[in-house]
Amino acid sequence: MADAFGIGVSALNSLQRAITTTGHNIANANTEGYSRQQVSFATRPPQRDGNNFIGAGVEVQTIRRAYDEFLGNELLSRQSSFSAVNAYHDLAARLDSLVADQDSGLNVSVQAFFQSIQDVANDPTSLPAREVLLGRAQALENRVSFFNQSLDSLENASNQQLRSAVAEINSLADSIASVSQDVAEALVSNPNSPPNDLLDERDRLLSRLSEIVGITPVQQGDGSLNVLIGNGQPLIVGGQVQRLDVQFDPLNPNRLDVAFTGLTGNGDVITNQIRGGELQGILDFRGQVLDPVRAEVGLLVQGITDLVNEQHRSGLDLNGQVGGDFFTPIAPQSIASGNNLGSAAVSVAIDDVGALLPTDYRLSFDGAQFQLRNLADNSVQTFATLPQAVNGITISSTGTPSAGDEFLLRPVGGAAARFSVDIERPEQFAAAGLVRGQATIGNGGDATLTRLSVGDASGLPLAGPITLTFNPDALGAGVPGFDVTGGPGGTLAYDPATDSGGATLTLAGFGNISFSVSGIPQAGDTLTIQNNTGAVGDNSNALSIAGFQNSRLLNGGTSSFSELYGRTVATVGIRTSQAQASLATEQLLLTNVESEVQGVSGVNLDEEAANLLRFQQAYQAAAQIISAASELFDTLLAATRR
Amino acid sequence: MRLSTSQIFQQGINAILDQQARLNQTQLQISTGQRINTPSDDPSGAVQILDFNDQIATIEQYRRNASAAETQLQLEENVLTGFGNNLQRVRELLVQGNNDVLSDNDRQSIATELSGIRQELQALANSRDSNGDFLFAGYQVNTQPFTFNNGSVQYNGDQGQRLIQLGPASQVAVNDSGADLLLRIPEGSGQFTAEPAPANTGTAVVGALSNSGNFVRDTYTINFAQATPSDPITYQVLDSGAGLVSSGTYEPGDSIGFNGAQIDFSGTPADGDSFTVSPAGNQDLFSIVDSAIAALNNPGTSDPQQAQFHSTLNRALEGIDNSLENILQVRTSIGVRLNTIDSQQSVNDDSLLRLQQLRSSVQDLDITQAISDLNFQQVALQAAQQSYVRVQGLSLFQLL
Repeated sequence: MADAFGIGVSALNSLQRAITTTGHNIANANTEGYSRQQVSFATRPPQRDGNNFIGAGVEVQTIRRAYDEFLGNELLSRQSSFSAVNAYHDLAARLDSLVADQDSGLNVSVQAFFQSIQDVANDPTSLPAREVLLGRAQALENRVSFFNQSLDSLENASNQQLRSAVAEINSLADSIASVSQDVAEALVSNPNSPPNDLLDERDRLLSRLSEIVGITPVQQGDGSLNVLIGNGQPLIVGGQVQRLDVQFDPLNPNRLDVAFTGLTGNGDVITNQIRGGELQGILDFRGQVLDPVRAEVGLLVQGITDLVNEQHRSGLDLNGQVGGDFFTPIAPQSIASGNNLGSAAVSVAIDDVGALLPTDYRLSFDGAQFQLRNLADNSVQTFATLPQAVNGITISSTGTPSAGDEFLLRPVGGAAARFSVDIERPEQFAAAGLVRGQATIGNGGDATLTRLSVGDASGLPLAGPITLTFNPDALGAGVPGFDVTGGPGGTLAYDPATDSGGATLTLAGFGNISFSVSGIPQAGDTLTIQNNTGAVGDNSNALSIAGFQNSRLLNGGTSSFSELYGRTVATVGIRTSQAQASLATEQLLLTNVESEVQGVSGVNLDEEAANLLRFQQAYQAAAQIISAASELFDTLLAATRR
Repeated sequence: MRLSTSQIFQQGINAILDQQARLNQTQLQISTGQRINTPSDDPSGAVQILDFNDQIATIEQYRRNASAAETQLQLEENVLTGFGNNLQRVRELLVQGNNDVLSDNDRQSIATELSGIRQELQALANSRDSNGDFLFAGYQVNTQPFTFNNGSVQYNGDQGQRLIQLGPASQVAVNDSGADLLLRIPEGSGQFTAEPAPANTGTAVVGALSNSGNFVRDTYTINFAQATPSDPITYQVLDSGAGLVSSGTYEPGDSIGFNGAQIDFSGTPADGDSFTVSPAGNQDLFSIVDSAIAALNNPGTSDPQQAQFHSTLNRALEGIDNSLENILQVRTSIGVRLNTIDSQQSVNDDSLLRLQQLRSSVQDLDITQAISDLNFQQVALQAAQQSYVRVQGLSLFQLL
């Protein structure tokens, strides 16, 4: 009888636990990261009665959460991949809408600038047309500056995100270490009943951490947890947290690196080791989108500046002055690492703007040789000595480098930040050529001198006119040509019989002027080349500058200005659309794993409702056992009272 | 497979969100009418569109350049027409003035009219365009190209020709140097000219000069001789070294030819009269008119003076004809340039149309397709919403 009471009570107690647990499940049906819990019942040890074992009822053996460790780790890694792509996509999409926009893209402004030069060429004395040109140049400067600020603000945004991500990693790591310790302690005191809600809490924290950075959790025998990041760098080991911090790149004061600040490995930069999570997305965006775009836009700006300036200096402005720089010249930058120990200073100069590549370089010295890394394609060239000429730049150095010294060489990357218009007044635009040619009015023949072009501005303006006098015997008897007086002197061959359709002649050393002579001169006829004084109606230099717009002058002669910008648009567009595609894929994979995890650990309310009914009914039955035992007892008492 | 309740809800919501995103994208495309709204929608298409935009803008600039060039050339042509009309009138007056029946008074009034025309020619030579720039000054558009001092003309411009870009490889000149137009007028036949010696006493007049081949450049003297009036008139042509080039007899109205030169004479030379034949140089329009005016004002009275007068007017007439030809040449060249502009314009128009079509094929949305997509996505969204509501109502707890 007492047995029946005991069994009844054990059933009531156990079922109460089961009903409580079902209630807990129902209550947490919408709790993020909650794993449903199940009560497992076990029979109590039976009592021996003679030859028989008599059942002693039921007891709660353990309350476990439904959890699959394999799926849990899978979820962590999927989450890392997803949030890496997500962070990358968010940043890239901001640039995506910037580059092709009619208002913020650069191509429209570049076009407008060159078109206004053609308008000046159509009417070189018109001050309004020149004012428009100046305005368009200013608009181009503003557009480039706005574009550059947008890139800067993306750089700042990624720095900001890195900062807060690292702060969150530190705080999550602390929490994980502390919860993990609680778990271990709970398991020590009660090895058979796992602290389910603590474990859920720990997994929730791990899951959040995996969104920020890819992690590898390693279970220890005592229930505690080690967490590794990147290529196996320890974040939590034996309950100790290695803290992370951000620090500025010694080569680039606008760029943050991630480094350890813990007791061991203090100051180790792990930027390049980071895998997965928001951190990787940010770092990839910087390397794959931001840097190439900066370099391409920088090359565009450097190209416009150098090419326009060079041609502009070969012209005369409305006041008859030789043209100066149209845009402020942009000197390439060289930045020495703050950690350098040697005394070397490295400088970069641009020799040929057409040969420049859209990339910056990292120069390092290993004690014996210099290594030059192209930051766009990571190719490396090695030199024993400096100076060296590479891809349109010359790298030279003074002083002595130490092994491990590093320099960042930016022939183009910093150009957009320093682009500005130099000329201030509309008259200063040099639309006219430096020299002009003419045939003397009294000539008997019809020879003309046209198509003058100046090779370079050295030796100009001319000290005096250069006169070409036709002489049928200039180069010996019967060999006709011109006797040259002034300039380089000497003779130039010209045979009216064969050259009257037009021959191109060049004067060496005096601006390397080349020109075309055509027609049939009489002996003694003169042609002159002279400084182009007073030629306010000349537009030849403006036409030359305007002609740059559609010529492939940059990137080794492969790209025009607009093609170079098109390349930027393509870079950004392709990166963003790839990110969109992988975002969709990663989303799908993540959803799949999440449903698998939910399939194992999630609460199904219908199931819980059924369990509730089941346990309720069992509870009622168990109460009946008490009631039956009580009636048996009453029957017995009634029998003995008689 | 086991499902959790929150998963059932989440999936329903995800389906709705997905459908909404698609609907939104289609709606954006329809509202902008463009298939590509950011480069990532279609990177290669976006770059093509940039390229098309660039080319279209460039061609539009070429069209603007062409219309600027056209305006400038038409203005120049108008001025040249003015020159032509004036020179025609000068020619008529010279022909009239060369007539023997005219009195000195008549000739003077012709000279007065010529002086008026000369003023007009000066004004035309210093024409300005709509911006106040001188048309015929070459590059020196702020400097008056022709100034006159004691009857002699000075050219202050240069021979620069301004070019305008009509197409990627096509430029057209929009001005012509005043020197070529008005100062480089060939003398005589273009290869040689002939004039009587001032001391001639006969009535021989140098008429038309023509080329009968390549003139051998030298200065020649034609000497006429007639020992007695009954003798035939003979002539000798001597070169600059006094070498005999040609000789023969002369009847009034004969022409004498040698070494590529053909010279018409009229009238009768006296014994010992001589004429000089020299290679042609260049002369300016104003000095031609001036020589005619001077001759008309003072035609002389004696026969030899009259002969000189007619020779001078014949040379002036020839000069005016050469000027007209010179101007016609420039006008022809302007016509050719205007034609070039027209044909380049039509090339530009064609490319513009083609580029706009190409751009539209890349950029524009297929509206029919998009609207049908929109309808389909709308139905899908409604289905997702309705099924969500249905599933939401299913719970065992409601039955307890």
